[in-house]
Amino acid sequence: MRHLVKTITLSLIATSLITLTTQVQALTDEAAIAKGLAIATEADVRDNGFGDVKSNLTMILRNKHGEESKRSMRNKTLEQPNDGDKALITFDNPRDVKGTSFLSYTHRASNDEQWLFLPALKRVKRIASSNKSGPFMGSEFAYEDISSQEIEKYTYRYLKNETIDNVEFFVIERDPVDPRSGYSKQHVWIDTQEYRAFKIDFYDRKQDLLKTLNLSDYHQHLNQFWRANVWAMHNHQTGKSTELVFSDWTFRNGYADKDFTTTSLKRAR
Amino acid sequence: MVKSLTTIVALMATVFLAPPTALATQWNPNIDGHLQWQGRHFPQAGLRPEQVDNSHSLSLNLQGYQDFFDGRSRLAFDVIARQDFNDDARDLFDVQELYWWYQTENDLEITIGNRIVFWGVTETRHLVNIINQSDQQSNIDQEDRLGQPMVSLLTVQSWGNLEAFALIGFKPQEYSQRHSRFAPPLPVEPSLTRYQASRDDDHIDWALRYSHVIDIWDIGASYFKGTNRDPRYIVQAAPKGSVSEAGTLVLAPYYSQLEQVGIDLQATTEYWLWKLEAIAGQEKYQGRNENYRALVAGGENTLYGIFNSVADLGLLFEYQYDNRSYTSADNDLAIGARLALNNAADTSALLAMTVDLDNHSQFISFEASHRLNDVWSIASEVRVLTNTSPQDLSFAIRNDDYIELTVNRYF
Repeated sequence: MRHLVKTITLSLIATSLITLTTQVQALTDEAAIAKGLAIATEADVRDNGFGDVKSNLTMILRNKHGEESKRSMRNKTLEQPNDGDKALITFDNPRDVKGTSFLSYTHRASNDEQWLFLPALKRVKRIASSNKSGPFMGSEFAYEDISSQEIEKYTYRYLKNETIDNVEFFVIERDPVDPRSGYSKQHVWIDTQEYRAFKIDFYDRKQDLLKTLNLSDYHQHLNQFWRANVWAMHNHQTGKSTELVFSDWTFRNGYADKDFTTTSLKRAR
Repeated sequence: MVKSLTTIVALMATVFLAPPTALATQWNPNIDGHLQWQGRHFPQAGLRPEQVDNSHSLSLNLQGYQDFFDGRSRLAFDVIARQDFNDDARDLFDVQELYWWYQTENDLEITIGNRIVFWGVTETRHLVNIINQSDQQSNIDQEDRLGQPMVSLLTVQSWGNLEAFALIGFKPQEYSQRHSRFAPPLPVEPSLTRYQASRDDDHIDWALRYSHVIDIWDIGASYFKGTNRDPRYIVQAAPKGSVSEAGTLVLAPYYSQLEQVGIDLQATTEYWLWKLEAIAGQEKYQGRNENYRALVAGGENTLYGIFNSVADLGLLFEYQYDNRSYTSADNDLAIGARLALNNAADTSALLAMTVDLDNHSQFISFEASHRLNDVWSIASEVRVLTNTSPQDLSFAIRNDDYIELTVNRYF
């Protein structure tokens, strides 16, 4: 009888110990999640208030044999106070898609809205935004890589600090909330000084490393907003790569919502 | 064509070529275009021996625009010229666009000149899209349109977009000839064209369009009062002085007046695009008022990243209903599959089949396109009519299956 009581007591203590250990682990987890979110939020807050911006883009696609093809387009973005950005992209090259324009409303919580203007038919077409993981213009960038990065689109976890070439980075993991995302997780290197992303590793749904994006040639605009001029995406699984080169950044053009409608899309060219 | 409009167009052309000095400092028009070669082969002999078995054509498209007043005003043009070396019925010169657009301080948008206006959401038939005459000789799919002279007023409001149109002047259809494919059983005699409206093709048509986006819904409603873009054909004997021999039976095009309302609706849900277009109207024909109704409704679902690749496969179906006697889309079902490889060459293909649910006539269409490089692209089209019933309007063109190759050079 005593023996039994002792055994029960012992096992109770053991259970408590296990619970305690798990709690310690959970707290660490919570802290990592909170720190990850705090870093992402700080990066987002530092970019608040840019208002609107336009820029030119050149996209260079390279296959594994090094053969290149080029695209060029113009981008206009309008910040929304309590939602994702509105963006309008107009294509100039290749010539067969010249004048084609793409309008998107990014939303924090609900599905994004997207329209395409097809100049040959003078037709505006609403398209499904569920194609997050699909390639943008045949490049290594997926739609979800170039759309407005909203806090709510991921859950976060702080991993570690890392120093590369005397620059200190936070390394955080972010997991896409949307089950239609092509990624299981992303690792993002954010510098501790200015909270700019310098590198992102993208992991596919099977948890294998799929792509790496390196962002470089950062410039500060209006004494506040940092923009990388070069986005180099390398696909580890296919050997293909795409380089996005931005130029002619102009902030505060006085854009309004009426410049981002299906009507303005028709004359965007 | 209406004289006043010709004057406007001439005036605008002058402005384009020799801009007033006040604007000359901003004068830096954006001009581009493309040259297209197209070859068609018809494997079956035509129903009439004089119908062509092969044809090839060259077309040139030029477009450009110039903005003024900080983008509040624009002059734009888009012209097409086509020469077919085997079937001159396909020759065309059309000013698709030549307009002046102006946005007032209180955001009212005025457009004067030739424009192409697209309304609607469906893929296999464009019921509500009524403003422009279709370029039947370019392709039987009615995707290509001819420029329509107009004056329009648009207001963009929080409750939606509202645009009113006065359509000045009317373009009749481009008719096929005896040697053309896709021709009716009897030759069309353009000199016998008649209009119900007293002022013939000078008649002014009116239209109103409302459109709005609410969450997943793209909503459109339209009203049109004017000349039917599709003529009725009346069989009669050719008088002296016609292209056809006097006394032989020919078709005289007759353009009636109609009044029509239309709605178009698209719901963009997580996996499906749901589409609907419906029209109801009244057409005056041979002293009678004929009521008509038509509908296209269907859906489209895209499978992303098929077979572990980056390619997409879109599947679509659309049901077509029409109670007018002169259309073959009376009770038909269209199904299709669209493949996009999402590669650098933007290779894509569309396979579609339409079946008449009453007489089982079938129409099969295959389209593919591929970019060769920055300035060259190619496309191909195969169209097959099978199981064609004598009850179906396509019976007259049952031997007109074709294979087409198109080469484009952009500049």
